[in-house]
Amino acid sequence: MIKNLTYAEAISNATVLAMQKYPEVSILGIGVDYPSGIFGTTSEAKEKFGLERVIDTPAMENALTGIAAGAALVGLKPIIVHARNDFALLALDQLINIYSKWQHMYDGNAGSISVVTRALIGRGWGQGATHSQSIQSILGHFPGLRVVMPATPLDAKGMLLAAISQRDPVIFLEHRNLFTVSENIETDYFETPLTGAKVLRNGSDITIVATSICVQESIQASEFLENQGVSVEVIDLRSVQPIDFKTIHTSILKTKRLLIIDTSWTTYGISAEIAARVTEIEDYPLIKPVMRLGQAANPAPVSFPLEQVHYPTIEKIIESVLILVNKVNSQSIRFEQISTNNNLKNPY
Amino acid sequence: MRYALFMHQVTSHSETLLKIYYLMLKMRYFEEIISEVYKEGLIRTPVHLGIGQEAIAAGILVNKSLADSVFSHHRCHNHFIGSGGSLNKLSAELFGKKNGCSGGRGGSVHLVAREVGFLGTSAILGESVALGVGAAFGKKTLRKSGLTFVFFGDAALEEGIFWESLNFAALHSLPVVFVCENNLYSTESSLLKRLPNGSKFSERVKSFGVDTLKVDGNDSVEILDLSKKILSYIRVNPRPIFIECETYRWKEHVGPFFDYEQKRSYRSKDELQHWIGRCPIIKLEKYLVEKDLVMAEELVLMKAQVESECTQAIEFAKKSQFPELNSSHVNLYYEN
Repeated sequence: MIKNLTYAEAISNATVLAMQKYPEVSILGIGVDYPSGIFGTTSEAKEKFGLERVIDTPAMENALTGIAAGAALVGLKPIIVHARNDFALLALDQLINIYSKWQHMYDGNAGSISVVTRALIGRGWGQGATHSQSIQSILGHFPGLRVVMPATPLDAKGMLLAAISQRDPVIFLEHRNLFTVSENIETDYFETPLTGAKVLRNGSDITIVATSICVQESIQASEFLENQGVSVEVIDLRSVQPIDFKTIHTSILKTKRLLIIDTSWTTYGISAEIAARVTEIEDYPLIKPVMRLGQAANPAPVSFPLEQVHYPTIEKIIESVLILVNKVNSQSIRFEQISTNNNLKNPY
Repeated sequence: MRYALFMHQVTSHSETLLKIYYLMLKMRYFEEIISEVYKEGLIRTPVHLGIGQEAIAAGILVNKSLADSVFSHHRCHNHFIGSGGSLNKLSAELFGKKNGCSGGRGGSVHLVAREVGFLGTSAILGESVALGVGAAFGKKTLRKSGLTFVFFGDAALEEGIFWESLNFAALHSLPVVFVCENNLYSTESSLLKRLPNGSKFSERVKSFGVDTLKVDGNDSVEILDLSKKILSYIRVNPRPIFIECETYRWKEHVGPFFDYEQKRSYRSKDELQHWIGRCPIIKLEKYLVEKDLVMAEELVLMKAQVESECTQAIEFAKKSQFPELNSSHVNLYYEN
C-alpha cells in the first residue's frame, strides 16, 4: 500500500517491519521506550513489541555499543539509537577498535557484529557546538564500517531494512531536520541498496554531490537555477563509506563541473575525500576546480542569527553553482530566502 | 590412564583437580616454549604471557559447559587453552600464519575459538568486559542458556566502561562471571599508585549490587571449591558475580623475559622469588600427592603428554604458511 510518510514515519515503519520479520531485533538506547520514542521513530515498535525488545538504557554509550556487539555475537540483532550522533563520540573505542576491525582481525572467524547504530544529526534551535555535529568522516575514515546517510523517506526506510537484514555493522546517520520531509512510499517490506549513489535530478551543466539534508537543499537550489538557465545534476551520495565513485564519474563525464556539499566541515571531510579522488585520477575531465561547501570552520554557534550564516544556505549553493558555470553577477540575481530549516521551533 | 577421562564429563572432585592440573601444565609449558621461540625471533607480535596465573583460568574454566561463553583480554593464552582452544591454532596465530585461529591477523591479543565458546579478546582495557555482558544479554533475550565468563586484570577496573558494563549486568540480572586477575601491577605501575588508600575492589563492586568473592588466585583447590558452588548457583539463579583472584605474573608485562633480565626494578627480585615460591602448579601437585589423588607415574606421563602437544603445536606453526601478501583487505566485511 502506498502512503505519504514522513522520514520519521518511514523509519518507524521500517523498524516495526524488521522486528516482525526478525525476532532477534531489539532496540537499545536512551529514551527509546518513551511515548515520544526518539521523535516518533521507536514509539510504534514499543507499543507492538513491548519493553523486552525496546529497551531504555542508562547513559553508557561506550559499553552499550560493546554490549550490542557481544549480543550480536550470540545471535541478537540490536539497533542502537543515539538521539544525537555527538553522543556516539563516547563510543568511538568500540566503534573504531571493535566494530570496524572485528572481521579483519579475526579473519572472519569470530561471527559478525550485526548491529545498526542509528544516530541523529542536529542543527539549529541553538543546539550549538556539541549537539549539531555529524561524525561521518571520523567513522568513514577507519576501514571496516559501513556509513550511510539516507536523504529521503524512501531511503530512510529502504536502507534501514537493508542494514538490518545484513550482517555488517552499519552507522545510520539521520538528519533531524529531515524528519518532517515526506513522500509517497510503499508500506510493505522493501529494501533499497545499502551502497550506491543516486542521481535524483538530471542535469548537464554541473554535478552536485550531496549528503543528507544537503541533498534536499541542493534540489531546491537546482529548481531556482533551472529558471536561470543552469541545468544542475544532483547526486544523493546515500552511502559515505563506501562512496560510489562510478556514479560520480559518469556524471562528471557529462557536466565537467563538481560541487560537493556535506553536513559537516570540509576539512578532512567527505567532500575532501571526493575532491581528492576526482583530482588524483586523470579520468575526471574537470574544467573547473572542485568546490566544496560545509559548515564554517568553527563549532556551531548558539545565537539564532549566527546559526543562519554557519551552514551553507540554499543561497550559498546557488552562488557556488553560478561561480562554477561562470554566470556570476550577484547584483542582477534576486531570490527570496528559501531555507528549509527555519521551520524548526523545537527540536525535542 | 585417568587423564584420558578429561575427554568426558568429569564429576568427581579429584578428577576435576587432575583436569585443572593438566590444564595448568598445558598453559605453563606452552607459555614457556613460546618464550623460547620468541627469543629466537620466530614470533614477531607482542605477547602478554600468563605464567604464574594459570590457576585462575584452569580453576574457573574447568566448570565451563558447552553453552557457556568466554571473553578475555590481552593476557589471554591461559583462557584460550582453559576453554579448550586448539594449541595448533594458537601457536600458528602467534607466528602470524594463515591457519592461526585468527588467520594470522589478530596476533596474541585477538584470539578466538568459537567452537568452544571462546568468543574473543581485546587489546584495549575493558572492551571485552562490555562484549561479555552483551553476550549474556543476548543469550538472555534469545532464551539461550549458559554463563558468560569475562577475564580481565586489576587495571580494567580503572576504565569507565567496566562500571558501565557492571551496572548493566546488575540491572538486567545477567549471569556474567566477572573474573579479576589482580596481579598487583599494570604494566609497571603498582596497584598502590592507582587505587586510593582504603578502597577495595569488592566494596566498589558490591555498591553496584553485585556479589563478590575473593580468592587466592594461586590456590586451585580454593578456586574450584568456591567457583563450583557459586557457578552452580547462578546457573539456576541468574545474576552477575565478581571473583577477585590475587596472583602475580612472573614475566614482564609484555614479552618473553623476566623484568630483572631487562634491568627493570619496579618489582624486586625478592618479590618475584616469593611468588615463584607460591607457584600454583607446584602447589596443586603437592596437594594431589599428599592426598594420594595421583600416582607419580601419572604425573610423569601427563608432563610428557603436555610437552609433546606443545612441541607439536610449535612444529605445526613453523610449517604453516603466512597469509597471501596482498590479502589484508579480504575480510574487511562479513558480506563480501
